[in-house]
Amino acid sequence: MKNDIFDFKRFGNYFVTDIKNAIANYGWSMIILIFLGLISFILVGLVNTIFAYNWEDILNGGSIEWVHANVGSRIGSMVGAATILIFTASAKCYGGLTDKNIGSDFLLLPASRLEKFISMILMCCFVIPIVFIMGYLLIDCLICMVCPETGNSIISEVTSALNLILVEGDVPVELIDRIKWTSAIDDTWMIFLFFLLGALVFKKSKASKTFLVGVAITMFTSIVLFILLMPQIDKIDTYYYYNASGQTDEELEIVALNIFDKMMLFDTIFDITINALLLTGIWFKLKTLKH
Amino acid sequence: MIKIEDLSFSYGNYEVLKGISFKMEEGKIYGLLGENGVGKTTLLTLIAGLKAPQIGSILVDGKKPYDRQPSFLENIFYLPDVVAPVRYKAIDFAKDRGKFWSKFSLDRFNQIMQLLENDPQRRMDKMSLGQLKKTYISFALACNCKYLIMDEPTNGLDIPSKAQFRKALTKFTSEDSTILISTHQVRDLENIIDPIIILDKQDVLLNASIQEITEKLYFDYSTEVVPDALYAEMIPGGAIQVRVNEEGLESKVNIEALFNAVHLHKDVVKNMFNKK
Repeated sequence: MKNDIFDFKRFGNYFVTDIKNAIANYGWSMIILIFLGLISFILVGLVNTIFAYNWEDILNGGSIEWVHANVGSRIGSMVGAATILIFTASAKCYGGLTDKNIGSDFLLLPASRLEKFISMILMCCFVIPIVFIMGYLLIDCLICMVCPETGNSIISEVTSALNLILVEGDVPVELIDRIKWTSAIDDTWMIFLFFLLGALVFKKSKASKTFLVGVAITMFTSIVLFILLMPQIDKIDTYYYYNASGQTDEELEIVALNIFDKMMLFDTIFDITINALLLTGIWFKLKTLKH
Repeated sequence: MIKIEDLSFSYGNYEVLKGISFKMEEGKIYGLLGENGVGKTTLLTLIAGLKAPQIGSILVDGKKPYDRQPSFLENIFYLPDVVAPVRYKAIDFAKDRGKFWSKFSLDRFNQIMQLLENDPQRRMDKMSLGQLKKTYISFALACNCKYLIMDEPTNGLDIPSKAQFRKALTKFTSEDSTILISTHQVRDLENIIDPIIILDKQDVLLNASIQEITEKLYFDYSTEVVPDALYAEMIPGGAIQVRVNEEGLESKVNIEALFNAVHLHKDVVKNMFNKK
């Protein structure tokens, strides 16, 4: 008797097929995005050199010196490449499911809905972002090894910055302990899941329609959150900066940390709720997909 | 066994299938015929599990296709009219996808590809329509499924390939397989399909074996035109007529003539075949 819900061997086979499909559909795009660091390094360097060059010097026999892209511009390029990745990866890898031929092939492949769902989520939330980040940072490290004049690699720059803020900086230990570091991961998943859902819902112009819907939802939630959180922010202002009730520094710190805790809790609940809603939407879409 | 009961399906306000009921038994190659727009492809996709019945039910060996359980999907292969030109070599596609069908045989895939004169090393997105169709046909037959559903399988195939397809279909399907082929190209499959299902707008006009058809209808190829024929058509060298077989004569079914006769005399034919 075969397990119709989840079978590890079948899931393994399906996940391998899913990876192969992703390579076939998005492999070249991923390579281009990873090498975008190198491309932008060359282009930014070229632009820097052209604009930094003193034309009077060259007319007087001066030599041309290449002005490398600094770490700031390399981080900017990575953010740009990551944005393109978020916009395009889900649509390219899974957007075909709304197409009659590709979608039928997907639906009728003998694997369970749960296996297909888990594989899809693993691809979008882990495999694709990790491959991109590792690939991009590796290329960046190689650039820095070949051209030491360009400065530190992105990874060492980010590590130094965090070290400066958290270890050597003046951020209170109590606050550092309360920061929910996984929030960044939750938010990344949220964006990938949102674009995955968009790829399954919209038949055409998937990325742009998803983006527009995202903008609309963000505007709406920002207004709602502003209304909900404003009293808390006012409280911090009142207690911390104006010390309206004349409390000691220690008392003020306890009040501020309590408010911070509440905001972190709200952030956690918000992230979990939105991610759960997105996962439910993707599951429901897979369940009701028809061709 | 495929059991369809009181099945209805609409696209918005346009009702395609209405109260359709019939059964399909094991070990037979069913031919599904019908005019454009009567719901042949819709019926096939419903049986395959790509759509959900709105009213009524479909059961394949007691399972609902739309649940798309792996144990159901492993026993069925649906070959659509238009197939996807995926970015794989045919052989890699077969190796990769074949893992999901427990009875799939790569040797069989290669044999059928060879029979259909198709190159398994060629990338599928670089193939012509006919070559792509032949790759999918080879894969479908290599999966060795109990249920094989094909929508216009001979579309896009050249003349030699049609004969090779017939040969592959008879050679590479097991005796207990149920095959359902929807086609307008009836001559391509004339000697293979049995029984024949003729679908009309919101109705099944005929679901009968070739033997049942020839017991009740006589296909007259003589030159003399009979006035009470259900259907008559002049053809080079004579005529083809479909008459009620009152004398118990033996004849060879001409599916095109049968289809036209059924369409001209829907109620007569329905009553004739419903009397059991």
